[in-house]
Amino acid sequence: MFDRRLLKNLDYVIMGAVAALTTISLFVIMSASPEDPFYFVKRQLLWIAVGLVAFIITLSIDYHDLSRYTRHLYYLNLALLVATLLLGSEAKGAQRWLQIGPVALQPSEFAKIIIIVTLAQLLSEKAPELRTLRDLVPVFIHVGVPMLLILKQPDLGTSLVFAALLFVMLFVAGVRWQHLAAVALSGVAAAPVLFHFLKDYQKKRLLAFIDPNIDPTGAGYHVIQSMIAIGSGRLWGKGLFGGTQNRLGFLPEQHTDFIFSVIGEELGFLRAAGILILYFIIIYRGIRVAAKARDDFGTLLATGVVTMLTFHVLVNVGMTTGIMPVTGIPLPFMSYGGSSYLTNMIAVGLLLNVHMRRQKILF
Amino acid sequence: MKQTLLMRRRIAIFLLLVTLAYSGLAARLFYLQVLNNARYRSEALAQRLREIEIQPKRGIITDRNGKKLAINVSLDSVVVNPRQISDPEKVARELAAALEMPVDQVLAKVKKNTSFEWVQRKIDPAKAKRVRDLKLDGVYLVEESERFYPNGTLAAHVLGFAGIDNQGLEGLELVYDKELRGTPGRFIGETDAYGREIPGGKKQYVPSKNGDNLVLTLDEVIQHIAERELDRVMQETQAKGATIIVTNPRTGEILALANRPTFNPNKPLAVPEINRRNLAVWYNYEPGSTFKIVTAAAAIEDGVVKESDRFYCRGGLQVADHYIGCVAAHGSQTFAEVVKNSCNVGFMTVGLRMSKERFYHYITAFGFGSVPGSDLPGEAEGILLPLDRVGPVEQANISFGQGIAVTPLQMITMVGAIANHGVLLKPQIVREIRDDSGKVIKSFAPVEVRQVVSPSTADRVTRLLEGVVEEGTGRQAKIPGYRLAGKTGTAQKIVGGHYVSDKHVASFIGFGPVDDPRLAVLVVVDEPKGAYYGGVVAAPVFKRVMEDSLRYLGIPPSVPPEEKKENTEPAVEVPGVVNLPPEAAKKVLEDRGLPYKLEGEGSVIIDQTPPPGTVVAPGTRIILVQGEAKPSPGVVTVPNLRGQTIRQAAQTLAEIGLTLKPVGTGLAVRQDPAPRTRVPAGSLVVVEFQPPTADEQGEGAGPPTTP
Repeated sequence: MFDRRLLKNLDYVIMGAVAALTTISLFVIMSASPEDPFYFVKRQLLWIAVGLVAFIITLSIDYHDLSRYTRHLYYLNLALLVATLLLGSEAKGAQRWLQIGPVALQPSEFAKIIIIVTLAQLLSEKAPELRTLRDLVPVFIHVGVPMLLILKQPDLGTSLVFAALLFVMLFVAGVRWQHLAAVALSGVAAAPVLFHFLKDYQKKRLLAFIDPNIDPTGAGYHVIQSMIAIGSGRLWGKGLFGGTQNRLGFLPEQHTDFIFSVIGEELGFLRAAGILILYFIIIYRGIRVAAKARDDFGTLLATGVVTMLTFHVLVNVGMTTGIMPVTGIPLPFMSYGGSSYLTNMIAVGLLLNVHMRRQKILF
Repeated sequence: MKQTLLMRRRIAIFLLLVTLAYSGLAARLFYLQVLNNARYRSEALAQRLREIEIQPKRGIITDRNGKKLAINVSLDSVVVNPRQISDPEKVARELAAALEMPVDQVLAKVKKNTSFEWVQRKIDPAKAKRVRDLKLDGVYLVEESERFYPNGTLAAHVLGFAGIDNQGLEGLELVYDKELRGTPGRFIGETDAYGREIPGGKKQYVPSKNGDNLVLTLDEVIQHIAERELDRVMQETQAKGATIIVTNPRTGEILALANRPTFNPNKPLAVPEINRRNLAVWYNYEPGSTFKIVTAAAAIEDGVVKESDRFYCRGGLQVADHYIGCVAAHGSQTFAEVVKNSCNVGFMTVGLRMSKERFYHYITAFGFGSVPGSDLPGEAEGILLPLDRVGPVEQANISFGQGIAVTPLQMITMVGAIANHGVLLKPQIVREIRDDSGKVIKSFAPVEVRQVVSPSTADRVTRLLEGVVEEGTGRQAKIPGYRLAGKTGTAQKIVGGHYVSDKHVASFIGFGPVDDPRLAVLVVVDEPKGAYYGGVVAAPVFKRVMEDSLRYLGIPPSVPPEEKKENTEPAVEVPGVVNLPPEAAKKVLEDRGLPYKLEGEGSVIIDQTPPPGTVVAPGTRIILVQGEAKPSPGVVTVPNLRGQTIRQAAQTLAEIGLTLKPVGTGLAVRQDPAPRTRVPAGSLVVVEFQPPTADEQGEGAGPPTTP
């Protein structure tokens, strides 16, 4: 399946960091499920196995071959998102899940990968032609349609990932500063209008972010509890399974979106910072992949993956420490959840794919 | 398609920005976990600690002999912890049915975002049982203590009452709230987010300190006598109100204080607010002739009159430009006769012999115009005309008790000074404060306010007042064998600035025995219908209160009664008949040769006067009050039902608030719970009945014996 020489070019540092994060996450998830410690871990192990398979498959396909299927991928993506809106099941007031046989999938997770691939392809082809703002319109439409479908679910966090992807990939693709500034400004200008269209709970979350004490038992509750948990963890933490706020039920969503609060409380500042460093290693090496890629498509692909991971880490950790609004974005490789883990493994697979094939291999 | 330089630069910038953002994140983490961790640590702890206040027991109030006047009973309150309730609709529905509350009201409480919410407080045991039987998660019964006044209306105005949180709201409950209340304790425990205690968590226990107990100067028996006489005089005269105060003039202690209308402190809000006013300390009235005691004492002390001085009453007296009338034309009298006849002309003449300053000196020295200072809340000062507005007419009026307003407590305090060799004592209602274990913390000694008149003056006034009872207007207060001093009073009331002829205040004030005064009694009857003279309306009440109280205190007659030689006859001890059916009680009394009088209606004797154990002369009439035995709110004792028929057993149990569950027929042979078990009122008693055998029949046929 693989050429030996290709395997030699794998980035084992990234793989090591991902393996480390995954391993740590299993213990933290165990600690974050005080009722039945193995309930979520068993399921997550299954998803890790699925993720590994997907990772290997992603690696084995030459990323250049993907560019031929971008059109199909793009429409498949739209079809899945529309299906989710029409047929999806509801949880916590949002329609994000598509039931396929025994498993529930979150198409918006995979949509991120598909947009990275298709946008990278689009930009790598068109980059030299993007001279005016008008030239950017097809790019906006390309990203905007799936983004709006996701916003409709509603999934504010994931649609913001799309905005980040669009912005960073345009930036790296070499679009002019002025145009980027115009895009950013129009985004800021549109914010109040978009705010108006948000659901009440989303508005409350954003307002609670500005001041969590407005509604300490309601919208601000998550953030206040998370900050108390992390802050009370201090330098060395309370020990795995020793976090009072986690184990006694004060922390909400502690095995999914707020897993970092458990890390902060139980493992302490030094180890939590260590985990941030693991992420930074992945991101740094990822940017290196982008820089060393054989072609623009590879560069943009790597940039997209790095942007997605970075955005998730920044927003998730920012949210648990009270410097970002609560948007329900999981922490890559650590939050419990199959679709998210699978997506991230495919993303890393793409990244390593680009890295592995950075040199022309001469037979 | 090689990367342009631009793209490489952009990637570098991206790396820089990402690194910056990362540093920000790390800094934030450092800020939370290292720089500010003390704050979050204490917030985390505070969140886990639940403080439960432990309520202290409110101190009890007893009379001077330890008879309980205000106690606490335990009742259950229903509390929910909404965080532990998974199906609020179901819980609310079942709880509402058990508590007889609207479902939506319960639902609102059950859905609150809290871990502690009262649903209904101090519920009766039957409801509590229903709630307990529901066995709902997150629904708890908390034992709370509630104030209970076992004697109902007895001494209601003195005691006042306490509210739902056992806070004193009126009366001594209010004044001594701080002492009675005690100090709450605390239990601090570490709990999880659902309010459940963590095993091995932090715990701290600070015990509560129970409230102090009040021992009053009241004597429950004398108080009973006063209450009984008030009920009687209210019924006989259909008066608007009435007050009786009994004191010990040697100490200033109030032995009884009662008013009508009154209220039941167990249900204080069931009557209009006016019923809760303590007329004895608050009501300003014109004392009428009872105030002549002050005039006489002042005049004798100032040497302006002697008992033998003669006065001539032609039915009125011209004072300045006013002609002031007397009750009758008394003709020529000595001063002693003036007092006996309560002659206004004589008193005006005497009163005007003093300067108004001297007269006022004595009035204020006797305590008028200032609050008596008894600790009872709401004391009024009375109304004195300002001295500069007192001319001869006003002075003449005041001499016989018009144009001045006083309170009943001021009057009894004044007459106490006459009985106590001229020394005015502060009226006293609390005798001791004891802590929870019974140790005396504070005791109240008699407080001498001032020597108002000399002992000899006081003695001379006493003799004059003895004449009033012996052969004057107060003859109806006379008790054979006892030497008593007293004075009648009849005052017209002022309506709209004018004296009206159809509204009076009839009163009688006095003390005895005169050679060693032990009791002072004031009776005030406000607006009696029909007869309105103090000597007719109030004097007989005074007599009965005085007589029963003297007997109860065991004070022997000082002079052998003329008609009957009672003391040569053997004394009889009064048997206890409370709780007996009237027929049985009559029989017990008849066996001892004691006549009786039945009052009230009902199937059982609930009160008797004199109380059991009192030694009385044969032929002394015992007053029995009939009523329905009330189910006590807390706990009752299961009676022995052995040998009773189903009907008898059902009735016996119903009388004390228990329910019979019969098994079999015939006579009771077994019961559960066993006799003398203490159970909550409303409990079920299972009794097994069997057809009688020959020798059990006789035993079972008799009436139930005393429980």
